[in-house]
Amino acid sequence: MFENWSHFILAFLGFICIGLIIYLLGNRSKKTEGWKNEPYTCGEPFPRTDVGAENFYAAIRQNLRIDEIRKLHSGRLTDYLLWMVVGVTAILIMVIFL
Amino acid sequence: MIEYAIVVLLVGAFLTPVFKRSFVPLAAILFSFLVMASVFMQGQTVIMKFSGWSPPFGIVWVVDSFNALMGLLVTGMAMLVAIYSTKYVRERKSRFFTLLCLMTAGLLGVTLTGDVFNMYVFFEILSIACYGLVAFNTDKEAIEGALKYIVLGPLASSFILLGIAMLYGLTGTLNMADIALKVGPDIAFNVAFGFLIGGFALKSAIVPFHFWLPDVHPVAPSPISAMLSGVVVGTGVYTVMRIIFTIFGFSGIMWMFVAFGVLTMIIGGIIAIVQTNVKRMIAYSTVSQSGYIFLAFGLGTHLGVSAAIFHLVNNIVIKSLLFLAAGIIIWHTGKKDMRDLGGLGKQLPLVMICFGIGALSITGLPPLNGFVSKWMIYSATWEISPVLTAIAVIVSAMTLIYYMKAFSCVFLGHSKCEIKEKTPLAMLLPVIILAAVCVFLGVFPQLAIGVIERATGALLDQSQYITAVLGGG
Repeated sequence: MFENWSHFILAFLGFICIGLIIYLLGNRSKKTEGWKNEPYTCGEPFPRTDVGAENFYAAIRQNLRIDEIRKLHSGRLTDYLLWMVVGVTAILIMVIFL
Repeated sequence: MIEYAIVVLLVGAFLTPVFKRSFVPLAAILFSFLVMASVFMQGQTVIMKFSGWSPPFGIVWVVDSFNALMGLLVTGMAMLVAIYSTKYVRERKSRFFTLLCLMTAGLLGVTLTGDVFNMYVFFEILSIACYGLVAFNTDKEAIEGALKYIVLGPLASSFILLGIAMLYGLTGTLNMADIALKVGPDIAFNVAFGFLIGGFALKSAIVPFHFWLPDVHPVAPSPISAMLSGVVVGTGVYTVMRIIFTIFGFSGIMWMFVAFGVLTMIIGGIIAIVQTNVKRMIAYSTVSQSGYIFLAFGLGTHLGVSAAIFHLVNNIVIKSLLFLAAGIIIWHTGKKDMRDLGGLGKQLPLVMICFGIGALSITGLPPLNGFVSKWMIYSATWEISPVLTAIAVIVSAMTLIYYMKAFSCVFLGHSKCEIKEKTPLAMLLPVIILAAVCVFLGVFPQLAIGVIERATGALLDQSQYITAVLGGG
């Protein structure tokens, strides 16, 4: 199954090179008047944005309710000890009864 | 010859404070690395009897293709970390290197021994060195992290000791091969197995035993974080695999490990997304990747175990790379919080490239080593259940999400810190070497797969292990 890994990797790199060549050809400067290179009325203005680490993927954070899972990582040693005992008990139940 | 690999490390540990020079531990670790490299190149199972006592009466060290690979990784990473630390650690160097030598000796002992109690003793040597190294910075966070580790570590050790005591009571031996011969259908064996797995699960950081890891790994000095997240967790996983396949000889799907693996992958990945401390994020990533390894070997198939071993190797290399690269950033800026970092790509371009390679590799993108092992995991899970494959792919996407965030926050955007010093070559070189390994193993995976296949064969062939140890050796 993995005999042709090099071929796959080379093909992958090859396709990247072909894509790069097409991209560069497409972006070659053409001898046109300046205004013709600009869009007429469409396109979005591109304001500079700076998203802080705290707000990165805020939507994911809210929708997946990550904060509720984070509460389990309370930093309290007693909680960690409890989880460890729960884990060992779960393993023992599984290896004995399942 | 193998015994000298550990003896020299122990001697190096005691001579380091006497000479107070970095060359002593460096020479000791280099010697161990060369010994392990020569054993690895031989490619044969080596049995070393202590004091001439034949197994099962005496302690033996058994080096097959699997633990030769692990030994090579342990000493190789320790070597790179030692080189890195010569510049990273600015004070109390002799204490640091003494503990690093002890840590490496403990790790090597755990991987090489063929005796369960000897394994426990080496784990204790390793743990005690780790406690000291985690507290090395002596700030509030470091002390708190070390205290948590000191309380939870011995609890895990107690479970392990209880499991070993039960096995000894049931079989009258501590030799792994001899225990493997005597394991029977008695339910007491299952209880001993449960205690052993419970204890080593803490070292391997699988859910719900992982809570300590994100509190402990980030507070250690960065080279030690690299050792803890890469090699120490890797050795914990190695031990679990050894217990399952060599001692108890399980075959077929082990749903318990698959379930733990899936849970660990998802929880580690989800929480990593919201981290703002770069080292803590990498620590959660370690939890998540540990889950991948448990999922893969839990499948019990040859491909699954191969994938697990390959991902174990890759995780050791990549986590070491990421923590060492993060260490350079912290060394320059003194900051771990991504909110305080930014625009470092222009000032540290090499570190940015190497961190990027590590991040893309652990995500599983070609042409890097992480892609090959993850592809193997996807293939192995596909044979059992496509649902598991889908979960593995989704968690890979999560991995990309949090590493993109870290890369963007630290290296792109506006510059928030000014780098005044040049990065020392001793710190840069290990990072470049590890990044090169990621690319090399990704472009030429056949080389690694040959080694992984031999390691898998050695791990799964329980009868060959028993014959090698008890049949003369």
